Amino acid sequence: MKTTPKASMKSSSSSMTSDAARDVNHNKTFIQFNPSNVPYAPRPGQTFTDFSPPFETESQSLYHPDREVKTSNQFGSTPTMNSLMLDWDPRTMLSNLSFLEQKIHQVQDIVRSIIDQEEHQLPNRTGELAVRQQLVTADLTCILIQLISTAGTLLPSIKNTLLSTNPTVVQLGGVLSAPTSFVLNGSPQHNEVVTPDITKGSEYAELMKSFNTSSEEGDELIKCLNACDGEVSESVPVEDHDLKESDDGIDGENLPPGSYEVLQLEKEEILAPHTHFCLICGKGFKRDANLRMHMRGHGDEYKTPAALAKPTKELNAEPTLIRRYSCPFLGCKRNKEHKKFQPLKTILCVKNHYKRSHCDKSYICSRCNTKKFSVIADLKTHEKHCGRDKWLCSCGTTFSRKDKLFGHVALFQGHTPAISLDDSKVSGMSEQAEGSVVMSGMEGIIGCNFPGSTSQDIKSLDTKVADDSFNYLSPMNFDSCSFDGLDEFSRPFSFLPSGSCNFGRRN
Amino acid sequence: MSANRSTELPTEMRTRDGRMLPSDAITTVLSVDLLIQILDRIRDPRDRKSWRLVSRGFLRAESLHRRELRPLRRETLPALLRRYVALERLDLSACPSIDDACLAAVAAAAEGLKVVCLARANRLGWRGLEALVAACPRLDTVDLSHSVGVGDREAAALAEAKGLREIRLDKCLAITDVGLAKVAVGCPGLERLGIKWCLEISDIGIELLAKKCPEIKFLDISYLKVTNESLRSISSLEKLEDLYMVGCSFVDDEGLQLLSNGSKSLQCIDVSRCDNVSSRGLTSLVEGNQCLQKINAGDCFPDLESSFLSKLSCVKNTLTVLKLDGFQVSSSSLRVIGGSCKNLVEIGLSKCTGVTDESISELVAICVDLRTVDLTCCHHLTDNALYSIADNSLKFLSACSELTTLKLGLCSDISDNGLAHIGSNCGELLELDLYRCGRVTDEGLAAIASGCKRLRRLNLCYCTQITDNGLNNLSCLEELSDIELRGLARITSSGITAVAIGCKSLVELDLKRCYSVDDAGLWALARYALNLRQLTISYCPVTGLGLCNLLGSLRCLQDVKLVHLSWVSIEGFELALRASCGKLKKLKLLSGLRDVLSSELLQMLQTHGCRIRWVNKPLVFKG
Repeated sequence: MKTTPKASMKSSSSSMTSDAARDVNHNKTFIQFNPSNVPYAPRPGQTFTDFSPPFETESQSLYHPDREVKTSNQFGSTPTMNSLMLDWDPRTMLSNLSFLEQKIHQVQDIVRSIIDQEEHQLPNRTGELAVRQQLVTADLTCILIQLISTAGTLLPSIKNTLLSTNPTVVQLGGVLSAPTSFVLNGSPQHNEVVTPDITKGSEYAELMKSFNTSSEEGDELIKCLNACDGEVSESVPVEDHDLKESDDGIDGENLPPGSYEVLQLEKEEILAPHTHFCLICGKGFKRDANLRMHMRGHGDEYKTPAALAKPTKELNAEPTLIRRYSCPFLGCKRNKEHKKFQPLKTILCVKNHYKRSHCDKSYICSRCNTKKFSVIADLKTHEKHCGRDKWLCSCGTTFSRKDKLFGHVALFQGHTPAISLDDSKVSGMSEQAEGSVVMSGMEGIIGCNFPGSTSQDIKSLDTKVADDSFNYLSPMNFDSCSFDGLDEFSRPFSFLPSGSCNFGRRN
Repeated sequence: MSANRSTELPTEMRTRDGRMLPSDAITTVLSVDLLIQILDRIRDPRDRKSWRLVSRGFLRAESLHRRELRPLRRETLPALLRRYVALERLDLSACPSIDDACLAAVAAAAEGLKVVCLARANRLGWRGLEALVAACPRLDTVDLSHSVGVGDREAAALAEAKGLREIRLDKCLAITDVGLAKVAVGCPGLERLGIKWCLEISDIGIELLAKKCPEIKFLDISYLKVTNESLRSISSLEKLEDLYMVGCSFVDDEGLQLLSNGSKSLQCIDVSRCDNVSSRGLTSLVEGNQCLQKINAGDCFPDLESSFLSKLSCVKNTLTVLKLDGFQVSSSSLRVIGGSCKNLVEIGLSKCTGVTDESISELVAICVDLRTVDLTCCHHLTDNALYSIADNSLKFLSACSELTTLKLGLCSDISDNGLAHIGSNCGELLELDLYRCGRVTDEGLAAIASGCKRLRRLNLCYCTQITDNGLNNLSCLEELSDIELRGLARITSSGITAVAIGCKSLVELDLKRCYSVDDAGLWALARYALNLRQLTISYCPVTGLGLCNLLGSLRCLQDVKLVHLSWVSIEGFELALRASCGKLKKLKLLSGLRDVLSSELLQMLQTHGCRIRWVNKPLVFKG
């Protein structure tokens, strides 16, 4: 999994750069994709219609060229059943609403008929009742989805039109999104609603069918959502502090494929330092709260409680589908194209994963100069432990934790934990010198106590003792020799002033 | 052995007659080989001493034959090592001031060493151990317990001896998991390991030990801060027989359950003072290990549940030692114990409320093999609660003629009559504890002294009726080595003198709060108690002169407690301690003296490996 992507990575990165170049070309129309380097100059003359086509093609072709055909087909077949339009168009909106109205009437009729039956107490109709109830639930679901998708088509168009500063839509956007700040990356609450889709229109029919047959309901939805990568902009509600590896969002999660929707952000979005921008001066912020604070400086209208309030969650009625993220890097296990795709839990995870796995490690620990990190929080975490608590094995491997070292030692034959030499009180040279004096001092004792020894066993010692004259001066000799003589004289007690090192010498 | 001794004595006499030329035919004709074969059968050290005095030939044969040595002084060490060339076991624990240089020299002189005891060698470091390991390739057992200087580095030095099978590291406080890992990796054939009180060792170290040393049979992890995880690792030791885990308060019933799942070889387990262990854990332990021989569950939990007692029948054939200190043992439960464990040799029932004369009599009637009975009672029980254990119990107990240890501390109803039973029937008694048995008088002591000739340890603390006459009676006990006489205000120096002269094996003596013992007693001790190693004379009215004489004369003295000697001047302390320099290992002094005594003296004591414990307590007279 990790070797194969290399080749594809190169190709994709090249394609990415070319895409980026195209992005620059499209900047006028396609600002949203490149928030980091966009000069937020509103272009008053720009209309919505010339914005949208490149938007779709770009987003589709960027990483999923294989889908292009499909989407275009779907695009062609949009006005079929539900006439779900891609963009904000009052007419399609109206037709959507009327469809909803129709549907609601239909449900009403069914419910009424059920009530009628109950009133007349008609027997033997229980089976029919069940069928009708099923019908009602199916219809209600249908209405719900229709409603969401209508709103979904509405929202991105708000954003787009915001970019093009269409005054009417700005107002409309202001209605939907709470503050009038420039919501480039709507708050997370918005994101839940924002499931804009080109393909959704055509997929919807299938969706309905799957609902009615109640089989693998999510699959089709996921498919269509997969196709709509890129549109969903990111928001960072809280700045990352100490993010651990587990933030990547795999651990312990084992969602069956299809039980969640997958979103994929673009590289530029992931790496953007700021995700919230001031509409007036263009200044970028990491958090929308900071942006709101900033907006206060632009006039009193931004100081109202409503403007300062956190955008509240809207449309709670929406069935909350679990959302997971895909890494834009082709070949990555976190990329949805991967066979064993493992989704990322949050946008934060996406950011950290992308930086850790697919970016240069530009932060180098200043203390050890060896460890490199691409996420600054990782560096900070490392610096907390760098140089401290080094657990060293006899083979030279170091560990940050004792249990890791002991695990290593248990695994390999003959390895032992090394004792750090800092612990020993005396260091190197002086230690050895002292040791040798001690040794000769003790041998001296044996010799001087038994000068006339005949034993074969300690001969070697005796020969050494021959030149023991320096022992008088050795500091340890006092300890060793001081009481030699006392055994001979059976004194009641004796006092030994320090320095009586040669007290007991008899010859 | 005694027969041997009697035969040797005339030989000795003869050699003294013809000192220069042992002309006796037997001593010259017997070859060294034959002498050594005879020596194989002589084990008693006193017989050996007689043997050495026969002739030079006998002395040489003995020195060639001798395998073990326990020197008491460092000065004699070189001569001893020179004489005994075939030493295998060397115990240096009684030898003060053992340092690196000394150990290196010893190792060089005795290369055949297999067993070395270096307990309480305060000055020992890694260099000495390195030298030892390098010089003695056959090293098998090393005891470093209570050696203050021993840490990871020393453990690493020790671990170089690949063939080590037993290591004792009790209370080597500086040893951590790293040191243990060194030992575990270095000595894969380790069979017996004691790491009691090595507080730095954790689960991680134990886990590694269990992985690296599968041969372990004996393991002491008492007082370690280890959890059930350690027991999980330990349960993988398939050959484990003895497990001591006193005071492991992080271990609970689940841990014991883990033990029951694992080793089937377990024979001895000590879970005393493990606060979180309950009857449930013990029950599972007994169920899981059918070969248990010794169980010590003292001071764990108060309630003895019938479930545990009924499960004792699982191990009824093997169980020989059962200690239930601090439990509430009723007569019925004692009956169950007696009924299911007929082979009991030792039972510990100290601090057990509810033990009565009847239950003891029943137990003794069933368990005829009982040798050691501990009936010491808890001091928070009133005397009234103890009334039940009285002379009648002793009458029954005296039926156990093999009894070696009897602890009757705080059983205040014990009187001379009971002791007379013991004295007349228990000739094998080695240890007797009569702590605070206030009704015991000189007569009881006389009965014990005449009956229990082999007594080694005797505790008479606070038996306040005892006088010098009692001590005079004791002086016929030659093997008595430990005597505790705390708070006996009636005994004087004359009694101490009698003990010092009579009890030749005296090693430990406690005279704390003997308010009538003065310098004369110390002079007698200095003159006669040459083997005295541990002495407490706190609160005694002795002067500096007596103290100086004592500390200067006694060459084996290692541990002295000198608290509240109000009659001793500062100069007296100074001189006495200087005289003791190089011998003392432990010293207990009033903390007020710390600033008064010269720093030079204190430093000297320290360099000689003497640890001083400073205590600060008010002078209170207790009559």
